[in-house]
Amino acid sequence: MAWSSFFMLIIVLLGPIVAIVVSLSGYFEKVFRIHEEK
Amino acid sequence: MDVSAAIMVFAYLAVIIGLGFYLSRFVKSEDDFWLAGRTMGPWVTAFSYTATWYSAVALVGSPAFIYGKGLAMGVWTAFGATWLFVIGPTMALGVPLRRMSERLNAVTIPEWIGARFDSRLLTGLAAICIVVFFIPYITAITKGAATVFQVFVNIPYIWGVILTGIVVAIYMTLSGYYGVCWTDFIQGWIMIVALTVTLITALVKAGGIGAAVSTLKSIDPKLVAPSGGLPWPMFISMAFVWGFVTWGQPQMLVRFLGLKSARQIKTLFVVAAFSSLFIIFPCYMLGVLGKVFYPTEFLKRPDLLIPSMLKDMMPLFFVGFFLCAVIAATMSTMDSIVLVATSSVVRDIYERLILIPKGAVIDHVRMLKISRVVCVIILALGILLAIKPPGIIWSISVFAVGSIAATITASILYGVFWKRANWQGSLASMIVGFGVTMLWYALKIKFMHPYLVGMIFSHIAFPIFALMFPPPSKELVERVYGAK
Repeated sequence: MAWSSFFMLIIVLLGPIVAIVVSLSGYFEKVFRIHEEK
Repeated sequence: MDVSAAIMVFAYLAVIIGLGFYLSRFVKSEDDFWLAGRTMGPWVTAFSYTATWYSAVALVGSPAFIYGKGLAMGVWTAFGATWLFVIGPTMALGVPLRRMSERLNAVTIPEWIGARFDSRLLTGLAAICIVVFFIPYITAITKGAATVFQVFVNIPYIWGVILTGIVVAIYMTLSGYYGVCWTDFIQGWIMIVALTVTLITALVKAGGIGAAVSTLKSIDPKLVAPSGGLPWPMFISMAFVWGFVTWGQPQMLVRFLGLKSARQIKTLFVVAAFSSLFIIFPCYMLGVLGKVFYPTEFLKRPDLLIPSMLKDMMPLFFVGFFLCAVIAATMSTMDSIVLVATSSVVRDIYERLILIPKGAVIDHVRMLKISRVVCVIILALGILLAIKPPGIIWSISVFAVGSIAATITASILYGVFWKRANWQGSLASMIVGFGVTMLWYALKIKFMHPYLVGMIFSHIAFPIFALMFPPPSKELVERVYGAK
């Protein structure tokens, strides 16, 4: 049962993990550049 | 009801009102009232974003919904909520919507739609849609709060309705968006602490995660099956369907507009992902664990699950704290709904459709006074309707947010991402989205939720009608997207 509990924990935390990864990946810097004040 | 718990609730209400008085000093004009003059920080806004979405329906209704559906549904629905509700709209819409709103000088979503498509008609339609659907939504939320007061503090229903209305009216009319965001920030933390402590206690009493899973398996193996014993398509649609509704909610999207700068969306993104998870995950897990403690007791009335778990597991003073969390969840949603409905009447309909076409000069201080009066009137309307208790809170809430999403989401998405999008496409998508949703409700068709059908048809109608008519002028495109 341990593996399934671990798997579910990862699924639940995937949202915030993705949020951190996206935040560190430079995605927003790219979006800021695209939508910079013109 | 324990006296200490009652004192805790009234002390909490006093703090919220006190905060409203303190923040009123920052509200000098209409723009401060609607959007705090675009000065809000990302942490406060992130908590406001999540606290606005999760009402008492999340705290009491979500565990009831998950009760009996098993672990997989709880886990995936929490994942779906965080992923689609926070990460999707923030990544896709946050920055462009904010930048465009600055260029178009729009502080409300109907105003943004009208400016994006250069059509006052669209501003009016979106504003009317918001007012029409949000007043019953206010009624449903008020009923939820009054019922909580009635059950836990033994306050008669009618007094619960009046008390809720008075508290929200005081801090909202005084401090506008400042009060909405800062009270949401406090209310969000109260919700997180109350839910986390309750979940940990329930897990300990169940003997830990492993023991809880084994108990669930012994009750019914489907409760721990990967898809909850449901066919996968049904399971996926149930777990993810509501995540899309937030993409078209003006009370959520307006958070991007109120930040100090577009760059703060990056911080908001991470904080909101965590705060959303810490609120909704315990809600769903308490529903799953409810089955461990009460295998059959609440099959017919699952709404009683959370009150019973609190009564049986937690000390009496903590019940008072959890009650504060339920009231917090209710008020943090209600204030945002009232503010958006008020801005639709004053800013979008009165200013944009009546005063400006006449060439009148807008006096922003006078408009602030009018806004406060209209705010009280809208709140009073919602509350008056709650005196005679309406039907099921969940159904009314779902009807309101679903109908708004079906009507305006296509205009926002195409308006942000498609330069060719014109007002004819937007108008068609609003009519089709609204019409199909109402028709689906009227025909009582059970295949797919009406809001989802309305969303699909409105997104198909938009490009078809947009391509049938001329593209927007070059000047409008430059005004919206910025000059090259």
